[in-house]
Formats: sequence, C-alpha cells, structure tokens
Amino acid sequence: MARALQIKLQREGFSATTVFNGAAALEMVSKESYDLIMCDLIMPKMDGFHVLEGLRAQGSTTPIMIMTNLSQEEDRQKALDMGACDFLVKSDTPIAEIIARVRKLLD
Amino acid sequence: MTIRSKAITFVSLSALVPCVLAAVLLVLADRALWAFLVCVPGIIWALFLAWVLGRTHRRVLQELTARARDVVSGNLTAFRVSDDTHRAFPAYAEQLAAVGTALEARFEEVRQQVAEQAQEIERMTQHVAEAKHEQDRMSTVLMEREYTMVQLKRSLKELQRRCGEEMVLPEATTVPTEHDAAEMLHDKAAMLNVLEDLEEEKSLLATEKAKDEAILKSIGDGLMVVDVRGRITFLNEIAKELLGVSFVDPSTNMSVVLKGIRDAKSEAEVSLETLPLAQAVQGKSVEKQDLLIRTPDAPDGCYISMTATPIMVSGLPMGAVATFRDMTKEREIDRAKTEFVSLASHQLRTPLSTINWYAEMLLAGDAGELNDEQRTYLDEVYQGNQRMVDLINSLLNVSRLELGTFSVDPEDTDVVALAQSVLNEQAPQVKERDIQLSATLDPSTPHLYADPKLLRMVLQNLISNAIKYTPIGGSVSVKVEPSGDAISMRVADTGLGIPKEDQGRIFSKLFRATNARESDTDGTGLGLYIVRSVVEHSDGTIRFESEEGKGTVFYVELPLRGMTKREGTRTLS
Repeated sequence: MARALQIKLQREGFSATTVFNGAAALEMVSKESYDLIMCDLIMPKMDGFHVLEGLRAQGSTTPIMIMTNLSQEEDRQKALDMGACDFLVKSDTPIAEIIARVRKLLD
Repeated sequence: MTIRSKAITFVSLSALVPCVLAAVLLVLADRALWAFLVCVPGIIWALFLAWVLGRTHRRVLQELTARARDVVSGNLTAFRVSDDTHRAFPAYAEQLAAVGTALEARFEEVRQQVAEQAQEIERMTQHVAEAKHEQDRMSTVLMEREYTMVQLKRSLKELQRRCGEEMVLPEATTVPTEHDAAEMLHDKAAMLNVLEDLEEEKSLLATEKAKDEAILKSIGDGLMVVDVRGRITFLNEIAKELLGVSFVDPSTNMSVVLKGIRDAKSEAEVSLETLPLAQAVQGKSVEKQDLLIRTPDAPDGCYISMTATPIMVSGLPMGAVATFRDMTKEREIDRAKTEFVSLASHQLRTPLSTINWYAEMLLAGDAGELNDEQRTYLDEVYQGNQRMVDLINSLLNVSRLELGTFSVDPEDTDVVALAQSVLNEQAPQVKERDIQLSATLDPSTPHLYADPKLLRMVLQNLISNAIKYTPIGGSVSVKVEPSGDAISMRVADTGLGIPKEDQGRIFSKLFRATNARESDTDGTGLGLYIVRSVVEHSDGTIRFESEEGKGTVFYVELPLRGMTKREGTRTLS
C-alpha cells in the first residue's frame, strides 16, 4: 500500500519517501524536513501514536496525516488530540481522494 | 290387769283382810297365839294367792315378752288372739288387735323408710365412687396439664429466642374443679393444636431457612442487605470476596465496606450518597451502576455492577438490597471481542485497500492506457473489492451494535437536507437503472436532534435497496414529513417485493429474501439488520408493507425528542 501511494504521489508531482516503521520515520524526520508526513497507526517497532508523540517532542510542526484501517472513533480522536491534522480510513478512501486531501493540506 | 287377776286379787284380799283384822283383834285381846293361828291360814292363803298371781303374772310377762319378741322380729301373729281369748277378754283382744294393726302399719312404714334409706345409701355410695373416680381423673388431667404447660413453656421459650420477645406464662397450681377441668381439657386441646402448629411452623421455617441459605449461597452474585440506617444485616460470601472484607460486624455501616469505590469509566471516587444502595435506602430503585473497587486481593481493581432495590413496608423504605456482579471477566471478554473484531477488520481491510488503490490507479491509466477488456476486468476487481470492504464495514457495525460499543453523537440535523444528500449520492445508480425517482421532502419538517452519520446510514440502506431491487425502468419514491411528535420517512419502490414466507425474517442478520438472492448475488444481508438496530436505538420504529412482484414500502418514524447521546468507543461506518 505504501508503495502504491508513493507511486501515485510521484505521478501527481509530489516527492515522496517511504519508510516501513515508526522508528525509521522519526529518524528520517530528524535528519530532513518534510512538507507532510503521512503515517499509518499500526506499524512494526513503533506505532503511529508513538511517532506523533516523538514528533511533537522533537518540536516538529510538520502537518501529519494519519491513515489507517482502524475506524474506531477513539483512535481518530486520540490522533487528532495528539496533533494529527487529518485522519482517514484507507479502505474507505479512494486514492484520488487522498491526493486531493494532500493538495489541500499543502496549499 | 286381767279380770282373772283382779278376781284372784279380790278373793285374796277378801280372805286376808278378815284374817288380819281377826289377828289384830286377838292381839289386842292378848290372844297372840290365836292371832297367829288365825293369821297363818290367811297368810298361807295370801301367799298361795300371791304365788298364783305371780305365776299368772309371770305367764303374762312371758307371754308379753314372747309377743314383744315376735313384734320385734316382725311376727305380728302374737297380736292375733284366739276366739276363746277374744270371748274371754274382748277388750283385751281388741286392744291387742289395735296394737297389732298399729304395729303392723308402723313396721311397714319403718320398712319403707329403711328401704329408702338403703337406696339413698346406695346412691350416696355410688356418688362417692364417682366422685372418687372423677378426682382420680382430675388428678391425671392436672398432671397432664402440668406436662403440657412445661412443653408449651419450652416451645414458647423457643419462640421467644427466635422472636426476641418476652412472653410471660401464667403459673397453674390450683387443683381444678369440675368446671375448671372441662375448661382445662379444652385449653389443653387448644394448646396441643397450637403446639403442633408451632412445631410444624418451626419445621417449615427451618426448611425455608435452609433453602434460603442454600439459594443465597448458590447465587453467583454478591448480595448485601442493609437496614434503613445503612447498617449491614446480610452480606453473602461472594459480596465479601468482591468487597475485600472477611468479617462484618452486625452493626457495620455500608459506608465502611463501600469506602473508596470508584466509577468504572472515569475511575473517579464515587460519593456514598450517589451509590445505588444509598439511593435505594431512600426508597429509589436504581439500575445498575458500573463501579471499580480495589481490594488487597485485587489491587488492580475489580469491576462490579451494582443494582439496588429498596425494601418497602407499607410504602416506607425499611432498608435496601444490593446485588454486586463481578464484571471483570465480562469486560475482559468484551474487550477481547472488540479488539479481535478491530484487529480482524484491520487485517482484512489492509489487503483490500491495496487492491482498491492499485485497481484505482490502473483504471486511472497510471500504468498506461487500458483496452476495453482490461478496463472491464479491472472494473470487476474494483467492484468486488468494494463489496468486500462494505461487508467488512457492515460486520464491524453489527459487532458494535451487538456489543453496544457504538457511540451516538446527536446534533441538530436537517433531515430533509440529509435525505436530499443521500438521494444525490444515488444519482448515478438511478440513472444507470433508469429508475423514476420522486422525492417529497416537506420543508416544514423540523430539525431532529440526531446523529447525522446514523441517520444517513438508515436512509442510504433503504434508498439503495429500493433502487437495487427495482427492475430497470421502475420507480422509487422517498417522502420525509412531520408526523405528530415524530418525523416520518417513507421509501417505496415498484421492485421485487418480499415473499410472504420471508417477511418475518427480513430484519434478521445475514438474511436475504429468496428472490433478492436470485436477482442479485451481491448483498451482505446486514443492511436492514443495521437499519432496524439504529432506528430502535433511537427509540424510533420501522415497519414495511410488501407484495412479491409489486414492490415494498418502508416506513420509519423517529421521535422529535431525538436521539440520546451515547458514549461509545466506536462509530458505525
């Protein structure tokens, strides 16, 4: 899925880098700056909530879009409370809509 | 004296007197010897006469004695004189006869008296015997009464011990009279009856007590009973375990054992006055409240559900009964179920999302132009994938409805606008199937305090079903209008209709009518189940009318008071 998203983003003119766990994401963000972070919740080594926590601890102000197949209201609220600016359910959101949301966040 | 005796006496005196006179004269004449000689024959004659007289008298006395003896012995024949005697002594004979008659009468009288007295004596003897017998019986009765009183005292003391009441018994020590004896017999019978009833009651009480104790012991929940002052009068073993107490003094107040109890959700300490048991003591019945209690045996806390009911006597609260159910395992099971469902849905959705996005990208030409055949195949893949996603979402919703974990977030909702929005979403399908769609959305319909997501779900299901199961060129109508103290929504179609034999199960989980399955193999059978659950959770009603081959009409009514906010951890999607 990450690969598909990366391909689509690149096709749409964005530059995207993909990592496959939360720890790697924090490391990447600490080395380079990004315009948007699109983060899953369930990941190996470190989940999305810990990434949110780490990013805020680092003082990052980069917008964070949470994408997940967990549709629980409490997860959505928790993510938003921890600083995510968007929360979407992957299976319910066509990839075209994701691209539209990305454009909106970056505008 | 008889005549004979008188004659003899006269003759004697006649002979003696001259002799005596002669003797006296001779003596005076100094002729003593001659006086003696004259007197001697006179004296001898007198003596002879005296002897004869005496003999006669003796005979008479003997006769009299014999007659008296006869009289005494009851032989009155002595008083019967012979004819000779009667002739010789008529007066004597008459007197004798009179005496005999009188004596006979007197004898008869005495005989009767004696007989009567004998009878009287007989009766008195019998009375004495009866009195003796009665006295013996009374003695026996008295002894039995004494025994009964002792038994009764024991039984009443037993009652006193049970009831805690002082009962004073009268002491009976007097010897009963005949009347008392009858009363005592009656009392004895009554007391024996009471005693029997008491024994029976005692036995019944003991049985009931044993049964109650067995029932209380076998109850799987904790049970606490308090009096009107909140003092604990009963606490079963399960309650002791849940509350972490090993022994409760009879005067312990419930505040002691319920101290530190917390709300299960917020984990904030709950004040005693707000607890169900405290409310119940005031006379209010309180439905369950989920609480958390930490005990030495359960330092992490034990989740309990408390329900309390007041004990009312003559309309006044006399105490309360509370039950405690250990919800820890149930919560763990619920949590496990929820986590499983969430995880399962997540794991199922992930590959579906991948398929979705790639199919979408391919269809968008991101990997190059597709020919018609490729496009068709990819469309099928995409559609099939979407159905899988829908099924998983429906299963998730069903799970949340059944677990009761779904949240309801009501807000001011324009039902008409929502309905129009749903109709607009269905426009592509309507166009594709050439359905004649009519919508009557009354603008005067008041806003509803409802969760728009749930309301949308209801309308989407009903309208999409109507479109899906209506043949090409058919018609679907949607009506939304106020209806008294509710909002009425009506969705009608000229579609397949629901066979009569399937109508009873149309709201069942995973059920699809036979004709629907034959017409369209897609469909989860969960839509109407979810719709009904949502409507009923909103205190609304849903019903339908349908005729196979002609169409179906669904009616939904939602009360104007709106939906009740519900805290939940899940939304329905």
